[in-house]
Amino acid sequence: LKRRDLEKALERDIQEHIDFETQDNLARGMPIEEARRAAIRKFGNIARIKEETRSVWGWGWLDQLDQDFRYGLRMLRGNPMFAATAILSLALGIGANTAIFSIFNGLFIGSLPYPEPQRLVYLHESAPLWKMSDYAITPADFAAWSAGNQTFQGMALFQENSASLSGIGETIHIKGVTCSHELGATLGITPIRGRDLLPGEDWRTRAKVLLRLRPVAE
Amino acid sequence: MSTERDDERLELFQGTLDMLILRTLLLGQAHGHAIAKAIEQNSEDVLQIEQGSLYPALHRLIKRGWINAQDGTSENNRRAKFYGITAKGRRQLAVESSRWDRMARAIGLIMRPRNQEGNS
Repeated sequence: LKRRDLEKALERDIQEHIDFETQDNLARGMPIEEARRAAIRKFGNIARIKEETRSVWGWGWLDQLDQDFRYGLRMLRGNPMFAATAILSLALGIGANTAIFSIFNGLFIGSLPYPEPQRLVYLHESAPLWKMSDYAITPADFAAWSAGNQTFQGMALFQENSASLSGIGETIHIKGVTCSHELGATLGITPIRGRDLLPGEDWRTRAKVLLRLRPVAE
Repeated sequence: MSTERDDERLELFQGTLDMLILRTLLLGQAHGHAIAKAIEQNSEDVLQIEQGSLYPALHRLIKRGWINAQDGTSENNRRAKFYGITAKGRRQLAVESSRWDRMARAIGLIMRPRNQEGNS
């Protein structure tokens, strides 16, 4: 608001100045038209002088930014092909970044794709002496932990694994986990088809039951 | 408008205008156009100022507190903004004019050495 007042005052000052000079020119006997033109010529470049005065006020950078912004918009509007190219490359750039980030986020940062992931805890042992931070838990330890568990709703043992699957077609390499039968219940997931592991169907009985994991829809 | 005399007019140094404005206002309040006219006439029309350049300078001086501005009416009963020098401005003028004296003397010493043969 103060800025607009200053702007108006400056405009008025300039007008008054030019009027004064015009009066002087008239007094020297110039015709009115010429008197006014000469006064403006003598005053100089009005736009530039306003610009310099504004920069004294100290909002120069903001003005500049505003002007640059308007200029940019005008240029884009005036040249649709260029605008389209610029917007398309920005869109592609941002899109690619977003895509890569969502993959990264899903893999490393984001929460686990299970119901109530905030209640899931990964328990492990470490062996600092051997510089092993994640040491496999023995089934005996797991049995003891489970028996003494008063903290968690459920516990399950699993170990990452991989195997070759051969049959009628090509033999394929699959990644998976060897787990105790509680895993599904602990993670809060149930099979879409077929059935979950039953008590007794784990390493304790050497039962071999395969569950195929499919990407879990969130 | 004396176009034939334009060659004899001089452009002002940067910063000199501030000093001339302060000196002019020492004689009393004046509006923008009167200041421009005073500078031109008192320099026997040698100093050519682009009259508009007065305004950034005036606003700069106001910001530094060397002059102030108030609305008033001119000699021919027109509304105009009048500029006046402040106490701070007077002190600044003293500083500037002594600096100017030293500089003018120094340049004079170089351009017109007293004990050099054959100078004009």
